[in-house]
Amino acid sequence: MMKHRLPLRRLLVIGSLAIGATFHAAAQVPTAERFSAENAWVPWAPSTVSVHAAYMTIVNRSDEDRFVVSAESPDYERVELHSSSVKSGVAEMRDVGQVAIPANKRVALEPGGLHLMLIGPKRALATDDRVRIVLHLQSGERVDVLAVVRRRNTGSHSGHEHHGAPR
Amino acid sequence: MRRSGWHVLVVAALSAAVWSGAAAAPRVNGVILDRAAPVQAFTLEDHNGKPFTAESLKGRWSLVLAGFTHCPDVCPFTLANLEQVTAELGLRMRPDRLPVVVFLAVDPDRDRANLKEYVQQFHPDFIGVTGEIDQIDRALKGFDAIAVRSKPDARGNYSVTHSAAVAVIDPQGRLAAKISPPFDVEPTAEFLADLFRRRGDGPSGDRGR
Repeated sequence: MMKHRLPLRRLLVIGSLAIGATFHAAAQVPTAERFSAENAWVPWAPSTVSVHAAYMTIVNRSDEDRFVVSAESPDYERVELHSSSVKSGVAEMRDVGQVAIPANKRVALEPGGLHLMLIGPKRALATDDRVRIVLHLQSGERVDVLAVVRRRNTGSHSGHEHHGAPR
Repeated sequence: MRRSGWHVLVVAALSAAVWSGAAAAPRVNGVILDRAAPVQAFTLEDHNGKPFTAESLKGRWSLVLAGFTHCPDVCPFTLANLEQVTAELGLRMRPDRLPVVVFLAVDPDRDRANLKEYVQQFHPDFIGVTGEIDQIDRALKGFDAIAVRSKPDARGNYSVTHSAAVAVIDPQGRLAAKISPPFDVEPTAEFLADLFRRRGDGPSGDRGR
């Protein structure tokens, strides 16, 4: 009985060293390199419209799944994670609570699906303005996003562009 | 039943070759009524405060969609697509034969104040209409659409669930067809141009009947 104690303790020590090393390695790679948001944009809307959307592709370059659990923006009173869907011909929008970003995957937030709902703009936004958004991950990490305000119909046939977005 | 009067035309993959293998083929789901259904009378107001009734739909083709101005995703996405569809149709037909896009705002308490700005961000010719709930519900019924307002949360925010389809109203003011997402531009324009041709696309034309 007694003789088992020492090896167990040793194992624990080795185990915690290994865990510590893992954390250390993870800490050396900046969050911005492991998680980022690409092609973030906010469709321009007239100043009387009090809810906007934000679209982007969230990239997880780490080997661990991550979950976006909340978001905020200094330019809006509140940001919610939403999903639109059409079921039996009825369009529905719901608060999804969290968005999973699997390890080494990209998740597209795009028109007609997952999106950020930006509520209560604090300033009038013009096209080409930038909107700062912070995505908070369940792990405590954060992803800083700079979204550009642009019209839905500009660019190369924007009605189609969601087809090109990685899923 | 009414449903038996529908037949389904799915226009698919008209320009699939343009897209890479991974991308979904552009589509529209169009359903044409075997017999166009008259829209029951309703009285609403357009975004300038002028009366808008079932009679206002007569004289040209209309594309009617239900939505609300606090809808940041699906409604603007559909309106933006309809703007592009109309532009595409503009290459194929005279301007006076183009359909008018009508946004039926089903959340009048919040929609009245910003309806004009909301619809005209997409095109200056788009028409926003709203009114009393009972009249909105009558109009919805005529367009074979529904809208359900959710209970407000603690902050007083609420959402509205509504039909995703666009009602295609003929120049006689009758429900002629419905189109459902995805509203990919070219197949949607092709579907509508074909429908207008079949039914006669002038205000008096109704050769199909």
